[in-house]
Amino acid sequence: MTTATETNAMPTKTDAEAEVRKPGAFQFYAEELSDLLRVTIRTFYYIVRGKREKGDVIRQCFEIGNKSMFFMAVTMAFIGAIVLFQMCMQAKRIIPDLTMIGGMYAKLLIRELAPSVGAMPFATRVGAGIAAEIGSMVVTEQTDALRMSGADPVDYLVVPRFVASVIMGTIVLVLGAGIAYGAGFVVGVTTFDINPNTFINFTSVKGGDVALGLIKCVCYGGIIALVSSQRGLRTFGGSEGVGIATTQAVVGSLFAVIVANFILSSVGHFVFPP
Amino acid sequence: MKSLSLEARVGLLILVAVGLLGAFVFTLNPSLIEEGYLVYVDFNNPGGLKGGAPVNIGGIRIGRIEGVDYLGGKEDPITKRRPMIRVRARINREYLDTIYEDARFYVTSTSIVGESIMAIDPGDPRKEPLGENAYVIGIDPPRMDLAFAKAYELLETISSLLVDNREDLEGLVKNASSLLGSLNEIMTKHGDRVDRIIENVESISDEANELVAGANKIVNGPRVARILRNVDESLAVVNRDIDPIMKDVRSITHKVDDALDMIGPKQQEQVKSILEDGAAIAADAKAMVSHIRQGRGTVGAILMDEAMYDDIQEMLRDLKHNPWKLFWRE
Repeated sequence: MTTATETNAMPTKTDAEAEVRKPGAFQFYAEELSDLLRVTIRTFYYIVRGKREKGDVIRQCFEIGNKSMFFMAVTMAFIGAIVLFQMCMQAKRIIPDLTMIGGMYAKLLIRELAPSVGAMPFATRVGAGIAAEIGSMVVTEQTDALRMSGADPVDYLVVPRFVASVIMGTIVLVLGAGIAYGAGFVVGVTTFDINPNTFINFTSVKGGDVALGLIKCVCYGGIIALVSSQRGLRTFGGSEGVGIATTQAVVGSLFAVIVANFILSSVGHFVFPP
Repeated sequence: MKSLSLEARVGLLILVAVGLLGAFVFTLNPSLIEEGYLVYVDFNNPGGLKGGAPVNIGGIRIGRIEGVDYLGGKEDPITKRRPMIRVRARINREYLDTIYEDARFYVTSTSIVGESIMAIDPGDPRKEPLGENAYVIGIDPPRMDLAFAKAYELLETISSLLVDNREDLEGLVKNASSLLGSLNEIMTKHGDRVDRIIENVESISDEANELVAGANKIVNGPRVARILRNVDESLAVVNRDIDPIMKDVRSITHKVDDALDMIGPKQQEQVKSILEDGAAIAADAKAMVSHIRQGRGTVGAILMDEAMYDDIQEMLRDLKHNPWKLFWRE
């Protein structure tokens, strides 16, 4: 088990030291990945053995879930409407029969669109928040105070956010899928005159599609929290550093989501064939 | 109004999402709480029919496909059939009494590019209901892939035929062109004669029509009708008498058959011997007759000698007048 000192060695360095020991690109990414791995392992360790404050997870659930809901609802509604509009436009070029669009849209939404595309606005909203919050605590040396009190910042700061992000990420993305489907339904019925009963067609959706979608939601929730927390814990350089950490958290989360999507979709193609 | 606590707000959001997910999962698999009965439908190739597809009667959804199993032509111990594919259709229980024994199960689609569904023609209401866990044979959908494959093969054959026999075809086309040119030339040069031929043909046709009309008149005339009536009556008589005659003939034939069956090898020998004896007797008789005709012997003399005949006639006449001469000699 690594110690807290190893993970948070960077924030204690001064700017001058950081400039002197500026690593190469490969070394930088290797260090980032190994640090992310350490944070991940310690997070899972403290989920089982941790002594976090009571109500922390609920508070984080509210911050991550409830406060993101409006933003996610609006974003997913627009995404759903636009995607369905484009699907119909492209389908009409091939054959003017849109009876299968509803079923196909539902399958696409559940398997790919809601979890993966929905995870991106979720990452920008939540990832930035987590990184900024933890980063501010790092630069104001609150994490050092925690450490001096014998508490691991991962246990107190990362674990509640991770658990809340996994739960509420799934919840928000499930609701986002419903909102996107509803928006698509409105566009399909009003713009393309699709019969409402024809549009609501889930016969092409299998249990495997739902399972894969849920697995993606859970994974993305965890990935966003871990990447953003890790970036927050590595913040240095005052308020500017917090800004940089926030940006890196969003970029890193999105990149991680896309890579995870590739892996999960590839595995899901064989485990839950479409 | 007192605002909700943090826990309540989070809980509410989770509740809504879980409710939405639960409702969706239920929509995907209504059999989780919906009770229905199974019907097993065997196909050789059910097309693109997949699990979860609707089962319709007259466009109204009455159930769904629970699963599509590959049996691979192995003998089914229950039906003793060898189906390739068995489809499990779960039908809502309320339709149990409306699908009959002669119901037909076939695969169709919702639209041109729509998903495959199973449709049921419920059958004759006078028959018994099909019932639960029934095994039926479905009607395979038309194999478009096979049709396309055969059409492709046909086109390929035509194409290769055209390519391989290009020179022959060119020659054929040239010959046809030349033939048409010659025909045109003939028609142009001998147009008058062709017109006359056509007129003659027309005239022949008219005459043939008149001939047919005359023949028709004769055929429909009273004489033909009378002949036909007589023939009809004769045939009626024959028809009436033919049965007893045939019956007698059959009886005779049977008797002859029986008689022939009774003749064994021993009897055949006897018949042969009798026939030989008969032949010998006939030869003797022939010799005797020849002898008599020659007037030889007593009988020959009596029959063939005129004087003898006269003497006998005179003697009989004398005896008639003098019968006592039979008893008394002068």
